[in-house]
Amino acid sequence: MATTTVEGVEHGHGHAHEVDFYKESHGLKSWLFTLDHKRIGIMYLVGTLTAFMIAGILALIFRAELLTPQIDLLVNAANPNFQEAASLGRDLYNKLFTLHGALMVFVFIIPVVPAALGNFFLPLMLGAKDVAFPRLNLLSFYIWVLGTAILAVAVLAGQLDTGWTFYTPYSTTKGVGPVVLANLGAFVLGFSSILTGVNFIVTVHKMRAPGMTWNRMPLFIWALYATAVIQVLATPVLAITLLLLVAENVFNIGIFNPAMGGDPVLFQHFFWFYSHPAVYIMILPAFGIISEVISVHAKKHIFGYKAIALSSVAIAIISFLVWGHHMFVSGQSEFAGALFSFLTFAVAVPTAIKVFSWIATLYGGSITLNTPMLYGLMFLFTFTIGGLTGLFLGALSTDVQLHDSYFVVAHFHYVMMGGNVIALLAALHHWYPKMFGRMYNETHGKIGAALVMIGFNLTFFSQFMMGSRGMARRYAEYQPEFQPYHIASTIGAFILGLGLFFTLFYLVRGLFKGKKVGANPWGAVSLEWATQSPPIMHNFHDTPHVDSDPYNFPEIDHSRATGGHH
Amino acid sequence: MAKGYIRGREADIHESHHHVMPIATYMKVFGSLMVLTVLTVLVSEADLGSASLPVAMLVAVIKSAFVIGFFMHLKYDTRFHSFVFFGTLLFIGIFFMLTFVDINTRGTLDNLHANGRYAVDHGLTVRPEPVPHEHTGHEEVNQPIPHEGEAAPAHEGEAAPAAEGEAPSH
Amino acid sequence: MSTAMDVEHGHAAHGHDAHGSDHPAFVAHHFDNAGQQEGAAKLGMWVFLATELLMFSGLFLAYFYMRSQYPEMVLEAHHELNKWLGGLNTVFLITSSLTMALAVRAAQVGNRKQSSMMLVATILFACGFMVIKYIEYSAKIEHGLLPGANFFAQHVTTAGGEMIQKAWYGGPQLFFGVYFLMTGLHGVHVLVGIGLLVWILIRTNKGQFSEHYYTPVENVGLYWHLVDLVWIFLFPLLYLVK
Repeated sequence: MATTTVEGVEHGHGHAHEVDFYKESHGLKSWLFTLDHKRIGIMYLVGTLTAFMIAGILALIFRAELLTPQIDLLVNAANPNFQEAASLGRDLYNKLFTLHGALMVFVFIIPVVPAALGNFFLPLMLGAKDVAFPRLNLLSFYIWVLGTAILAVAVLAGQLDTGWTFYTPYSTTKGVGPVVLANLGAFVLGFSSILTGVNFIVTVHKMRAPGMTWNRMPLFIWALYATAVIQVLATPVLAITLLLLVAENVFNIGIFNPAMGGDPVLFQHFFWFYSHPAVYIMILPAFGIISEVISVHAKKHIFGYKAIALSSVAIAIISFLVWGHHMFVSGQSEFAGALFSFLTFAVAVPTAIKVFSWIATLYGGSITLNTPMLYGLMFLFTFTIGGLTGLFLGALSTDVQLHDSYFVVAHFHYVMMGGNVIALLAALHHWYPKMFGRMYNETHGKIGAALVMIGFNLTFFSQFMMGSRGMARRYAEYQPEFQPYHIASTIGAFILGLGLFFTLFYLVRGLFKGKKVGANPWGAVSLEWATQSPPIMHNFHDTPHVDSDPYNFPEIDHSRATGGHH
Repeated sequence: MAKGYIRGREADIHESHHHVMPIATYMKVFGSLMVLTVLTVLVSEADLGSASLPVAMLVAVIKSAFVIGFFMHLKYDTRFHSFVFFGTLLFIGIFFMLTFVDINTRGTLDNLHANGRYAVDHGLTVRPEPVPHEHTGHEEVNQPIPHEGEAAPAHEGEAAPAAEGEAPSH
Repeated sequence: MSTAMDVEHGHAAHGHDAHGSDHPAFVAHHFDNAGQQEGAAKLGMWVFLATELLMFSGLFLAYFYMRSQYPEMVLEAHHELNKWLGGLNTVFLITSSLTMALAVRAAQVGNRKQSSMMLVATILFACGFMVIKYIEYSAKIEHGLLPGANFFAQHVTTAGGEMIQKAWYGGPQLFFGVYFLMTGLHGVHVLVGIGLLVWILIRTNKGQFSEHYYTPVENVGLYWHLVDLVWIFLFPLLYLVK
C-alpha cells in the first residue's frame, strides 16, 4: 500500500482520542485572541458567510424589483410626488447593487476560500503545526473586520452608488464622504488580503513536513500558493489606486481628472491591474478545491498532477497581462485593445488544461455521487459555461456589442458563483466532517444541490439571453420585451436563495445532530485526513513524514491499463 | 526526529550561513554611493537633451544595485530572495509597459481612418459619415487633431448614424 | 503594516515551551528550529518588501504618465523644489543606510554596544531627513504650491511667461499633487521606520539579541534600506528634471 504514511497519527492506534481544538480552551476570549490557524479559519468562515448571506439577500431584493419593467418595489408609495419617489427608488437600486457587488467581491469571495478554508487546511495539508506567522494571521482577521466595518458604514451613510469599481470621473464628483470611506474600507481589506498572502507564501516555502516536496503537495495547496502570489503582487497596486482616488477626492490632485489634464482611463488601468488578477484570486482556490474533491470522490489518481499544478502558476502570471479587456470601450487605444484581446485568449489555455484533466480524472474512476461530488460536477458545467462565454467578451469585436449588458453580468456570475461559490459548497461538504467531526445529512445535501443547480442556471442563463438581445446592466427599469427573461431570472434567484438557505439550515443542524465521524470518512490520503476530526490543537501528535503523493488511493488498481496512475 | 527537516527535505538545521562582510566593504559601497549622488546632480546640470532621463535613471539603478546587493545582502543571500525581488520588478515592468502601450498609441487609428481620411487617401467610396456628436472634455482636448466631421465627404442630409463608424464616446 | 510584520518576528522572543535541546527560547513553538524560523522571517520580509515596491510603483507610473504628457510643465514646476535640500536629504538617507548596515553587522558579530550606537546614528539621520522635509513642505505650503485645486501660486509662470492664477489643464498643480503624494508616502515610511528603529534599539539595549538571534535587526534593516532605495529614485525624478 503506497499511501502517505503518517507515523503515529493513524486514527485508532497510538493515541487515544484527544481533546480537539474547539475544546482546548473555552470562552469568548480564547477565540478572540487565538493564534490557532483553525480557529481563525472558522472565524473567517462565519464572517464571510454572513457577508455572503447579506449580499445575497440584497440581490433578492433587487431581483424582485426587476420582476416588472417599471420601478415599483423600491418606490415609497406614500410619497405623493411619483417622479421624486421613482428617482429615489432608482438611487436606492443603484446603492443596492453597489453594496451587493462590494460586499460580494471585497468581503466575501476574495477572502472566503484562502482566508477561511485556506487558513484551516493549509497547515494541516502541509503537515505543519501552524502558519508561519500566527499573529499576523490574527491581525489580518481583525483588519478584515475593520475594513468590512468601514465599508458598511460607507454604504449605510448613503450615496455610494458608483458600483464596486469606483470609476472616475464619476467617483470623484460625489463629494468627499462616501467614496473616500468606501475606498478606505477596500484599502484596509486589501491589507488583510496581503497579510494572508505573505503568510501563505512563507508557510508553503518553509513549513512543509518532512518528505512533503513540491510535487507531493495537494493541488489545493498549489492553488492557494498561486493565489497568494497574486494577492501579494496585485493588491498593493489596489492600495495605491485607492489612495490616489482618495487624494483625488480630498485634494483634487487631478491625475485622473480630465479637466486638469489627468486621465480617467489611467484610473481604469490602475484598477484593473489589480482587479483582473483579483478575479483569479477568486477562482484559483476553487480550482484547487475541485482537484481535491473530484479525485477523492472518484477514488482515482488526479490526471495530470503537474499540469494542473503548473497551470495554476501559469494562470497567476498570465492574469497580469490581460487587464485591458475590461476597457475595450473605455477610450483605451485600439492597438492596446487588440493586444489585450489577443493576450486574453492565452488564459484559456491553462484553464482548459485543468478542465480536461478533471474530466480525465473522472474517466474510469469509481465515482460516488455524494454531495461534494455533485457540486464538483456542477462546477464543471457552470464554470465551463462561464469560461467559454468569457471568450466572447475577450474578443474585441463581440465585446463592443456585449459590453455593459446582462451578458457580462451572467458571464461573471457563472464564473464567480458557478465557479467559486459552487466550489466553496463542494469544499464545505467535503471538509465538513474534518472541520466539525460530524456528518451532514446526505439526503438534505442532495436536495440542496438540486435546488442550487436549478436556481442558479435559471437565474443567470436567462441573463445571457437578455444580455445578448440588448438588455443593459445597472438599470432599475427596462423595456417590456425583456420581462419574460427577467421573470425567469427572478424566479431562479429565489429558488437559488431557497437552496442556499436550506443548505445553511442542514449544515448548522449537522453541527448538533450530525453523526459523529472518524478521522477519514472519505478514504482520502492527503495529510489533513491523517489527524483526528476535528483536529487537535497542534494538528498532529508527531510531525508527519510523507513518502507518497496525496492522490495515491489504496483502491487504485495499478495493474489495469486504463486506471490508476495517470 | 523532525528537527533535521526544512522545507520538506532533510537539511542542515542552520539553514542560512551568515555572511559577515568586512567594514571596509561597507565603506567602499558608501563612497561609491556618494560619488554617484554627485554624478546624479552633475547629470542634471549637463545638457544631455533627451538622454538625461535615461542617464539619471541608469545612475539611480546602479545606486540601488549597491544598496540591494551589499547593504541588503542580497548578493550573499538565498537565491530565492533575489527571485522574489526581481520577479516583482518584472511585474512592475508589465504594469508600466502595457499601460504605456495604451497611452502612447491613443488616436493612431483615428488619424489613419477617421473622418474618411483613409478612404480618401486610398480612393475608396465611403458610407455616410455619422453626425459629429459632441464630445466631452477629455477626449476632445486630449487629441490634438480635431474631429473635422464636416471635411469628410459626408452627405449632410442623410446622416444616418453608422453605429460602428465612430469610436465609442463616453 | 510593516509594524505588524516585525511584531511577528518579536514573537520569537518568548517561545513558550522548550521542545528539545535545539529549540532555544527565541524559537516559537510552531517552528522546528531556529533556522526554519529565521528563513521564514526573512522570506516574509522580502515578500513584504515586494508589496512595498508594487505600491510605490503605482505612484511612479502616475509620475511617468504626467511627465510623458506634460514634459515642459514638469520641467518648469520642478524648479520650485530646492535641489540642495533634496541632495542633503539624499546624503542623510544614504548615510543612515550605511549606519544601519553597520548596526546589523555589529549585531551579527554580537557587538551589542556598537550595534546600539549605530542604531542611534541611524535614528538621528532619519530625524534629520524629516526636519528638512518639514522645512521643504512649509515652504511649499506657504507659496501655495499645493496639489490640485488648492494650488494658488502667484509667482509661477508658464513656459510662455504668463502668470498662473489657479489650477489649469495640465498645470503645475499636477506636479505638486504627485510630488506631495510620492514624498508624503515616502515620509510616512520614514516615520514608521523611525518607530521600528527605536523599538529595535530598545530591544538591543535590553540584550535580547545575540550573534545567534538577530533576525528582527536584520529585517528592520531591510525595511530601512528599502526606504533609502525609493528615495534614490525620487530624488532625480522630482528634484533634477532635465
